[in-house]
Amino acid sequence: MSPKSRTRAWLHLLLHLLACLALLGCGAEPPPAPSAESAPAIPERIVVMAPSAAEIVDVLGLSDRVVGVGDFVQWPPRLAALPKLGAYDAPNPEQVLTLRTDLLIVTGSKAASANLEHLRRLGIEVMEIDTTTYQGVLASLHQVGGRLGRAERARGVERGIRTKMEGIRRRVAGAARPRVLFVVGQNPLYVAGPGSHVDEMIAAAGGRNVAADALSPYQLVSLEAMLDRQPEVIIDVSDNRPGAPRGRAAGAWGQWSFLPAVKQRRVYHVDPVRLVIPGPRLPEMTELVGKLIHPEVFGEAAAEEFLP
Amino acid sequence: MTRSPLSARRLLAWLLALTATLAACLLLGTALGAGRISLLHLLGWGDSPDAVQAVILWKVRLPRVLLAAVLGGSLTAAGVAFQAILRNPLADPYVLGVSGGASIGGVLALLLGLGRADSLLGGVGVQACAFLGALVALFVVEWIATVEGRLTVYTLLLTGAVFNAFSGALIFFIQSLASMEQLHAIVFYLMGSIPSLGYRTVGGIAFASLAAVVLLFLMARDYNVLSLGEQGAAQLGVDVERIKRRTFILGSLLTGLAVASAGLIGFVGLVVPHLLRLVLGSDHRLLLPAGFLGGAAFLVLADLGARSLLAPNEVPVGVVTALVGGPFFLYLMRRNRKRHSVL
Repeated sequence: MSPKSRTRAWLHLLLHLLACLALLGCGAEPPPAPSAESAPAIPERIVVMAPSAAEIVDVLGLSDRVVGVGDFVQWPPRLAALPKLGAYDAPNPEQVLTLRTDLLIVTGSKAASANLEHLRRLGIEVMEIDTTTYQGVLASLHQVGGRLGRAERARGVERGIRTKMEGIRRRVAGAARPRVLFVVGQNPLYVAGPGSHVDEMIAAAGGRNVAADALSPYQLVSLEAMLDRQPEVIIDVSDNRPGAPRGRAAGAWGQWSFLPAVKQRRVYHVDPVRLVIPGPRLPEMTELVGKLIHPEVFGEAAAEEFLP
Repeated sequence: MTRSPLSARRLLAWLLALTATLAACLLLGTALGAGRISLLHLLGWGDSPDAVQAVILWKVRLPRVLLAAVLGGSLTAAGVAFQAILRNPLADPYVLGVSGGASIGGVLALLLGLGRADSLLGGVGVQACAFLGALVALFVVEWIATVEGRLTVYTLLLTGAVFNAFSGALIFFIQSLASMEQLHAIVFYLMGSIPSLGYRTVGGIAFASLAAVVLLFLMARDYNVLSLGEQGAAQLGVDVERIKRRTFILGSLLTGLAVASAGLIGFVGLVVPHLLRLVLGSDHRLLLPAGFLGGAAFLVLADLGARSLLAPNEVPVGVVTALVGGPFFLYLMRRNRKRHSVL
């Protein structure tokens, strides 16, 4: 072995050792678990990533503790104006730290767990909530309220939501149940299927989702199958451009003139913000769906109810 | 590998057989689907279909089946031609960078909301922008890969690969700026699915594609000579530079048109040419037209699977082509390995 190659071999060994040590160090570092003697303090600086989480925090009267939000939070206006930290489950870790965040609220996501695990190791408390369904919204309400000292208020909000939802269900109890197609995206065609809050809203508001047998809550489906099922009401939230045409108009669906929904002029274009964010507004959103499906029960929707 | 030389009879027999196969696939593709319309309706037996079924059949399903045929044929013909000039069995229609340019164009159009029926370009905005992207890519790649007036295979392949990698990065960048709804649309556009376009659009695409395939076919004899190597072909009087440049442009136009209309449908342009080569030998006078017919039949069947296997749910057709084409191809290759040394 020449001296030169021996030096290189040593260097390699050294680098390996350092790498191993670094790995060990990561593993050995204890997670900053809350100490047993004192209950964890109520977080003062909160970051909420999902629009639904932002609305839950707001309805619990905690908006003034929020210091940062996810990119898609548009409501309430005070929160929309705060620093944006990234998409639903991928907050920028440096920004999270810069904002001296105590609590980070994200919507449940397995994909981003490595990212979130990293933040937990850095001492940030991460709360994952699941607001996909009605039950999920209620559970999240208590999860957030419980941790932030608003358990009583959360119970009050839940009572309110339940009462309103019951009222809506009662009003359409005896009515016919028209076939409803809820369009999330056109070209290719995306619709709301089972397991989505949209599916639950359609059922509660006295309709039948024609895509009830889709494979996932938001599913790519065959156009011909949906046409074949002849929806009587089409609710289309696929156009998210600002200033897009809203209201009662056939739009691109007009080319399928045989559809009952087109013939009876019951195609509605609604801003997605009105219907797709599951949260404390669920009863209001369900009532809007009710106005579109059963105007004879709930009355016609006003023009501004289609707008953001 | 040696085969009996191509006779007019053998050429005709194979093309007739493949045309019959394609016709059967077209019939099957039109007869089956998510909506309830049976083969009997189509052949005029049984109850005549009601108005709804007729609309679904003629305005949703048939244009889609026809478009699938045209695109499958185009991609396969482009694959055959690229493999001939690059003399590389791994070449597929996407290897020279056009697909990257088309994807960028399409994705940008989705981001700007040009895909909507009521947008500026009336429903085909994404397709138009993607084709524009393909043209830009074609010119850029050709400009970079031309060294001292010559288009060398080596630089062409490298330029194409780098351009595709660059486009991939650019698309990820665009995706990182997109909203959730746009992201969905972009991902599914890139995965490839065949849209139901109007007959006029399908007719236009078919006309352009067929013209390009015919022009490629006119060079079939030169491709055969090119298999001797560029030098050998030049000695036999083939204008190698002209053939390469024309093939690159025509193949890129075909690919650009296909990616623009239906996104990235992988595997058709790679597997079908090889399959046919295993069966038919490598005379391009047969391989090119056979590739068009065979690729058309293959994609029609793949799209039938995509839209009806999990109906009413839909699977991207690119997923079906890869899942079916890949294993089938490997099986055939393994079975034939002992008998021939094609690959």
